[in-house]
Amino acid sequence: MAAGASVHELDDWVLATAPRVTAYARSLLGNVHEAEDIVQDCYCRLIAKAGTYDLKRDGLKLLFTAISNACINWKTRRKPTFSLTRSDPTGDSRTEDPADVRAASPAEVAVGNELERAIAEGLKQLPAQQRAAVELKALGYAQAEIAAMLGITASHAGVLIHRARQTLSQYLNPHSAEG
Amino acid sequence: MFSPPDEHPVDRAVREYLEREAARVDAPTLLARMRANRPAAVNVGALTRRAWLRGAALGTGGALAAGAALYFVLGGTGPVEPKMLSATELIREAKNAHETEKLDRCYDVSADWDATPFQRRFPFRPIAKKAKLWTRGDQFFVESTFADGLPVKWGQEKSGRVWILPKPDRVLVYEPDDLAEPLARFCEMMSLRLVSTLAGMLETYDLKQETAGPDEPIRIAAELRGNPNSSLPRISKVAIELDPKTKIVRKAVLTRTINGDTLGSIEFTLLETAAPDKIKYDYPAHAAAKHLVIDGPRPPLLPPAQRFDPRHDPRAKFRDDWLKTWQNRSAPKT
Repeated sequence: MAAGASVHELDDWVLATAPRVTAYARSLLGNVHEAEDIVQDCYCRLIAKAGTYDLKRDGLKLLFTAISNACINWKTRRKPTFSLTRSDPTGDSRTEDPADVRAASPAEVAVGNELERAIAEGLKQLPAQQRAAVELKALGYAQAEIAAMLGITASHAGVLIHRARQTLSQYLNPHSAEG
Repeated sequence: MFSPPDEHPVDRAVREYLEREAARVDAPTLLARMRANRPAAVNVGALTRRAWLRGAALGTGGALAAGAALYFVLGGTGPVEPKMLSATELIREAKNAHETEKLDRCYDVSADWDATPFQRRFPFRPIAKKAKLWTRGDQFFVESTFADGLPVKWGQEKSGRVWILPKPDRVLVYEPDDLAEPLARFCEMMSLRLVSTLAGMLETYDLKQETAGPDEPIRIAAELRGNPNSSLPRISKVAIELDPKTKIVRKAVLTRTINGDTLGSIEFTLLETAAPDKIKYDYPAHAAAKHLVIDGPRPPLLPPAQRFDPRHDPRAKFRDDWLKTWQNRSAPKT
């Protein structure tokens, strides 16, 4: 999908990529509405320049880069106030709408969900850059690519990933077979 | 999704978590929202979605609206008739008024809950149908009474710290980073942060202004964009009435929904404005002279996984008793 992509091609590309990038933004921010707003903004900016990029080849990486920066900026400029629809100094539990625990299906409440909750809780405790780095790593990007996306050196990216893994291990140990 | 054979176990857990989150994303709705805001020609430069909206508003609003919008973008401060401003600009003015004015305002709070969806979704019943709210910016405290007349108060200080007085001589204190469920949900449902609510209206709601004369109250209806059937308890609609001169909120009605069901609506009506510095939002001003403060676990710090474990939080029992007492005392007599 190079320069001059049709509206249908752009729509297909959005539908194919939106779940991954939105999930990433939601996880970085801990706030569904803000995340969707940022994702939408980033798509719009990128599509506005669709004529200058090959979105099929580079679009996803460009999106992750734009979303990482927008989310990290958003988190670092938030004031630490408790609010109705958004939240806190670390940016999470209170930026999030309160979860409706009773909406979960019985299957979701099973043991597998414990691991999900543990990893979600662990990710919330990470500083924004560490969270972005470890999530991009988990999504399959190489250390050098992560460094370029976050605007840091490759060695710094390595440090962020290492620290994030260490913290997350504390949350995962009680749930892992080895632990 | 790509999964290398030598994947680190933490990376695998994170990847699986993100995959589950991705499965919950409603991509067609996101695309529909983008389509609705997409301009006719996409390659006109790096326009953001908000810029597109502004462009659309300018296009349809005619020269007068365009002049007013440009005037405010350029930071104009002179007198402009309310009818010239868009709903977004009016809400922005209202937010600025509540943020910058150092006055405390008292609102009468009246809640009308629908018990059925409420009880299906939450571990507490709809309570506190009548209350009085004092607020300045995002600081507030709420005064209410149980059915038997016993007073109850809770509030939020400037720092974001939340306090509750289950009894006049006992204070439960929650720092901004340790307010956990179910109290977070309770506070979220039962109180109003004007500045945050107005900010939320600007960011995630579609705004519509009712026509009114220059000296009549300005009425703006706001509807949440996005999925109306969310399993999260959202404020789906806000109806707000602003003073035409000061842009202070005179009245606000918040409608809450969950999974498309209406949980209820809370109406806030301005009662009075206090003299400067008369109202205090810190708990010592509300607790008895001799009071016991119960706060969270303190050093030695617990491992992160145990931070919210009720067994390590001395407030948990008091908090649960308080919520239970409130429900029991607020329950309708049968």
